[in-house]
Amino acid sequence: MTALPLPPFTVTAEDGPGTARLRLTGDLDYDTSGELARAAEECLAADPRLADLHLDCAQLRLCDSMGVATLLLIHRGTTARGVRLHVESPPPFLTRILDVTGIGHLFALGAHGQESAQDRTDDGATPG
Amino acid sequence: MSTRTTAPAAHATSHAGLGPLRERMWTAVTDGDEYAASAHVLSALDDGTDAESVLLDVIAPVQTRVGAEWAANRLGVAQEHAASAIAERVIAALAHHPSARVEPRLGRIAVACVDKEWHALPARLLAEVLSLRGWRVDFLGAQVPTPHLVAHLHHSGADAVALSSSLATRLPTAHAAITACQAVGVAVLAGGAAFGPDGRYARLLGADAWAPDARSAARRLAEGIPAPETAGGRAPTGDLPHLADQEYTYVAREQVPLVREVLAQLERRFPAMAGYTDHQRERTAEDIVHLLDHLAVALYVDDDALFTAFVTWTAGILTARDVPARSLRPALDALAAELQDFPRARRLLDHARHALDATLAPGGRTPGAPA
Amino acid sequence: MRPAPGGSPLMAPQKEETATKARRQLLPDAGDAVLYPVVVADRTGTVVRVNRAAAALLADAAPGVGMARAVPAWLARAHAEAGARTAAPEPSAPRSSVRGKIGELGFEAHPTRHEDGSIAWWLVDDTDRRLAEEALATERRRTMFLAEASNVLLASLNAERCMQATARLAARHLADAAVVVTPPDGRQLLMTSAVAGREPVRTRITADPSAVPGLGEALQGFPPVPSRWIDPASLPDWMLPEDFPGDVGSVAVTPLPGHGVPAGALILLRAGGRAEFSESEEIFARLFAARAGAALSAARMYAEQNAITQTLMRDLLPPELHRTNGVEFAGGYRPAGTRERVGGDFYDLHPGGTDEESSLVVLGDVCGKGLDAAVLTGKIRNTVQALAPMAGDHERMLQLLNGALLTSHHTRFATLVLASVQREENQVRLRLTSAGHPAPLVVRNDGTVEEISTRGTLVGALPQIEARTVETCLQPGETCLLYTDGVTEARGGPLGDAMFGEERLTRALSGCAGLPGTAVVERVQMLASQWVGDGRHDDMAVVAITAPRTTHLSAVNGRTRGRYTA
Repeated sequence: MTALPLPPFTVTAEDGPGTARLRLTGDLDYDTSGELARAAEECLAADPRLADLHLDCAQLRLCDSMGVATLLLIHRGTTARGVRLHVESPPPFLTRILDVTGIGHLFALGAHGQESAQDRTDDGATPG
Repeated sequence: MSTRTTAPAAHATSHAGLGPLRERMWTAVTDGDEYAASAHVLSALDDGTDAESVLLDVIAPVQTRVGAEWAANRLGVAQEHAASAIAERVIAALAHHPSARVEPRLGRIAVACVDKEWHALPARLLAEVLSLRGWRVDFLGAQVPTPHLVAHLHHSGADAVALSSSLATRLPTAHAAITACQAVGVAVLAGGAAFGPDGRYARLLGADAWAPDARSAARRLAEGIPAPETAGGRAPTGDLPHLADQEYTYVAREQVPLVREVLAQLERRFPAMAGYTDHQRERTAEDIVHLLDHLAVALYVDDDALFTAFVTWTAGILTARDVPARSLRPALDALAAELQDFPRARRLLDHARHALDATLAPGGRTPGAPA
Repeated sequence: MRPAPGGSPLMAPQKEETATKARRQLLPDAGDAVLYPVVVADRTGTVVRVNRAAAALLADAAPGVGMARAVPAWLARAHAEAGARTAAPEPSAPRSSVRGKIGELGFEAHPTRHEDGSIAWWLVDDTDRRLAEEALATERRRTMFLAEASNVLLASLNAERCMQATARLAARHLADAAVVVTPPDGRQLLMTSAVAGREPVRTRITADPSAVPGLGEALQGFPPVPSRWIDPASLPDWMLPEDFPGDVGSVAVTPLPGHGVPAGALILLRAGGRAEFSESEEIFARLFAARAGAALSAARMYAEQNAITQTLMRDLLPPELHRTNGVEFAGGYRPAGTRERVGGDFYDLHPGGTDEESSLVVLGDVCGKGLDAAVLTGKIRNTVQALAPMAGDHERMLQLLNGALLTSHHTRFATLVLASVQREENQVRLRLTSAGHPAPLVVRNDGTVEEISTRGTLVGALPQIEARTVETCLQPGETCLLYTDGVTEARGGPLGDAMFGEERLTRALSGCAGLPGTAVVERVQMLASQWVGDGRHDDMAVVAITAPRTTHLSAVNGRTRGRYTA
């Protein structure tokens, strides 16, 4: 029983006019999240006129708390530069994490992310 | 205040007179009433009952009875947890009673359960008994990772370790713990059901001593257990030469694929499984995991009796829960088919299948499992 | 050779200079044609001829004297045996040589048989070879001993055990008794002394090490000082082991050089009448001291580091929970790594000042793992403690905590849940607030498991956060469970890679209705741990808040009342 070991995590970048897309596959965790932070930083630095940064999460298998911290770090960077950050095709587990941690509203969730994030509230509105 | 009775005659008397207290404790424990349980114990101590007798002749037998009642399906697993939680509280209350306060005058002993071992109560009882007898005791609790145990030995300088394990499946872990303690020059006294009724696995794994119960463990420690030789060390597989065939390694490492395969075969043999809920399917898979865990350990210690005893015990447990024990047979058959290239595993499985057939035959309920 | 009293197998067999001196006296100048001493004796065992060299060596050897008187016993016996064999028909059969000592010297005696039946014994001095062989054997024993000593000494990182091993080995192999002294801690000197063949004894006394000549310097460790011989009379009484046999003949003070830190000194004592240490023995003692010193200093450094770690760790370890202000609290914690004791999960209980005040429970999870994460938990726990008086408004409290944690350096955040707990009559009233944390679960007495619908934002990463507090009430026997996602995200199960998940947790809790909190915690921990099997898992923390089922205080008699009402 020797399965070929899958690479734990990969980031692939695609550029378009005014937009960048990072395709994430595998496990975004303590050991790999630095890689994503660097890739995002490179995207932001490469194009000063960037308007949208997309993180394609369809192939993400796992996201731990360091992964979430990295998403927050990228959000901090995009907000400072006026770039919109999109989390695309989040698998159900990621939607759930963003939902429980109360940060889903920071990321313009694309594809099958919306329905679970329905009760997120917009900035400033205090629930309950 | 009470006086401790240590003379054997006095002890026998107090033991005989403890029946009513045991019954009161049993009622309190099964009612989940820890306050009543503590009150019974404390007033017994106030009345001069020996603390060691309360631990070993009241609390311990009540816990044994809880286990037996669980096996017979007269108590739920949650009640079992509740009972041990209550026992823990009662022991804590007992330890604070003035009659249980003994100045340490003997050496220092570390009492620990091996990693992944949850049954802390036997070890806890021993720890209290040793304290009562004047040892300085560090009770490290349930599931102690071996690195923690060794670090403790380095900084405490304990004279010996009393290592407890009740689950046979923890024997490989216990082996690691025993050899690690010995490597730092500390003797290991092994105890608990995992090591076999006669302590055979304790000897096999090279423990420096073995004791069948808390009183003999205390006696054995008092006699003194010579420190193990650290010089040179033993040959790595010296204790268990049969491990060279890698059968244990294979079964332990390939557990998940083996479970999947056996599950698939069972589904072919039992059309009823198609109607199983996910939960039922998972329980079946867990049963197969238990079989494989015990098969792996039987390979580790190379002992047919260990696996056979587990299979017949499981048959009893299933029968008590109105689950047909014959369902074990096709699982064993499927395993035998999967492991046909492993002579020791095949031998163990053959032995267990014969024993299972013999167990099932007399009742006449299941003559010949459907294959 | 005279065996030394209590002679050790590692002592050098003989001093070489003595032997050389003896030879010079005995063999001043062999003027004979034959250089080797030769003794010829007949069949009856009577000396027939002696050459000059032999006469010089053997004072009693002269023609006509019996061999028994003329030569040492070993040679006389060899001659008698050879004579007996001459009865055999082959008189010229070659005879093997024999060995023995004459005075201080060693000889090999080679027989040559003459036709008349007499035998000439040619004596060849083999003292040098014998000494070399014996020295080699001694060195082998020493090497074995040093290897064994290293094994014994390095096995334990416990300083006390190392001191005992050092004293025991030194007393057995180097001297009649040995005392290991550690560098003074204040005015106190810690000594472990051993008399050969007995168990080491540990003593702590208030004494000035400079009372023993050379001890002060040796204890300083650096710069290293040579071991030195001191006058036994100068040894203070407190230094002498109680059961030392007889008078002290010689005393050596040897430093134990450690890893750049002073490890102590070794004092070797020999009984009166016993030979002083030879040069080779001193070298050997030094080699042993180097090993013992290295082991001792490693053990001492380990102990110091361990003490520091324990002190720093004390505040990072989860507290023991028990019944407080009429409410049962139970907690369980399992860090991710088996080598670690702390991690990124934490919980605390801040009891209300009185039964009427709420207690505050906090359970949380910081991002990251191991010690780094644990340090962050320490900061959060301290801040929460300082904010505990504001627990009447959870959201406000979380906002202040968020502000305190926010930094521009990173986005390491924490998720946590706050529970304000208040006993009212038989019930327990709860105010629960999640800050980005899995919702608490309540186990009702009928086995229903309720998820408490509190929601909020994680803390420490965003400038603004919000949170919604939810209230609930526990009837006697009911439990509210706070847990971290290490439990639900535990991967494993019979098929290997499934998450334990909320559904399994809920099902397990449903079977825990009415159980004491400790049993609920144990059950959840056990199931999650079994689910993981031997696989890796994240930190797992669980806290149970339980309304006590019964309060049988009336069942307790007057003397024991209040023992377990916390």
